[in-house]
Amino acid sequence: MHEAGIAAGVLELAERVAADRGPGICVRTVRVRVGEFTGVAVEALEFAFESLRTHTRCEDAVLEVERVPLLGLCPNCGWTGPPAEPYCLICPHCGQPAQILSGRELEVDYVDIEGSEEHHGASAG
Amino acid sequence: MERVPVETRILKSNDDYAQANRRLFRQRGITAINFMSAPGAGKTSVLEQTLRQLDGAFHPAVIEGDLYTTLDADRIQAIGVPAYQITTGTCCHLDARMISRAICEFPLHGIDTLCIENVGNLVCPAEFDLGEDLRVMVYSVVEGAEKPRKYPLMFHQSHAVLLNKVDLVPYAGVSIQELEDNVLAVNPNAAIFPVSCRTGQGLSNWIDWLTRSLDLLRAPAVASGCV
Ligand SMILES: Nc1nc2c(ncn2[C@@H]2O[C@H](COP(=O)(O)OP(=O)(O)OP(=O)(O)O)[C@@H](O)[C@H]2O)c(=O)[nH]1
Ligand SMILES: [Mg+2]
Ligand SMILES: [Zn+2]
Repeated sequence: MHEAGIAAGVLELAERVAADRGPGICVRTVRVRVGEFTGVAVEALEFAFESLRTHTRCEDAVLEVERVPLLGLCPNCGWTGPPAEPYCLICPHCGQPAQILSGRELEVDYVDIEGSEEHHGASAG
Repeated sequence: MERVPVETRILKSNDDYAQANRRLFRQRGITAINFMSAPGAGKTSVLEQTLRQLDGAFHPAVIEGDLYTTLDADRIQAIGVPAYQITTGTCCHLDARMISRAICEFPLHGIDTLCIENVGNLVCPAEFDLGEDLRVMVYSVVEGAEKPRKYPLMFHQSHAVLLNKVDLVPYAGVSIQELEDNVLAVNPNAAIFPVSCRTGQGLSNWIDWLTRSLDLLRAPAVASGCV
């Protein structure tokens, strides 16, 4: 349900990068990293991004989503790996509580930007 | 085409507000608790019971998050505790900015314990740091024993999980043991309390835990000159 807010956050970060480079710069790709252990549904995020990007510098941008798997780390015995059962954070080797190594990511990794002749022309004329 | 590294949390702006809230709470000697649950699991009922039974040495206030109504804030005020209502409209969770605005308007003089009731929702609130010291989840046992596996994030993020409405176990046919095991699988460090706000069962264990946690967290107020 909050994917709209997440998509707005993605757009805001990408827009800022393009705006910092000056007028006529637009965004071609936005690469985000979404951990498996977040409350974000990827399809809903893509849909929200597509509906919010109109009239922004991301109008033609592709949203690329990298899914980051949930990996655990056991401070007791040193085990690392994916959980034995979905989202289970009990160490499968020694039964002690495990920590999260990855899977909570919710970040913009990079953006690809490009100067657009069209926009230059339009704003000059 | 140029590739520009960003490497920034999407919720960075929320996190920044949360950090500012946390600093302000610390300055004023306030411990903040974020109560989360699916709609109707019993957050307001838990607050009513807890605030009635909490040691008089604590000075609590409540911020209520609700989509449209002030009903929950009215319930809290009815037991003599100051309450401030945030109506979020269509937003299904509280965020740190809403809290930051609320604490500008809501006088916190003499308050040392701020309880925040989040909007009823089993998924979204867990992703938004409000600047709280403690996260408490209320779960209604009638929803079944498998939910921690299906909606793990909020269970994982919470310091304490209250398994509420245990008076209904005979009708719901749910196994509390199985439910507890599932909570511990996604959050091996959770403090778990089976309780009933209807009968009062189990509440004293929860309140003992809360009192101990508040005592540990309670920091002396630093600045005296703040508004
Ligand atoms: N049988 C039983 N009913 C309960 C218990 N605790 C709460 N209720 C009932 O459950 C309903 C919802 O309780 P609330 O405290 O309003 O729940 P809430 O989580 O604050 O609800 P929202 O703020 O609307 O999401 C009310 O009708 C309560 O009387 C309990 O321990 N046992
Ligand atoms: Mg309520
Ligand atoms: Zn281990």
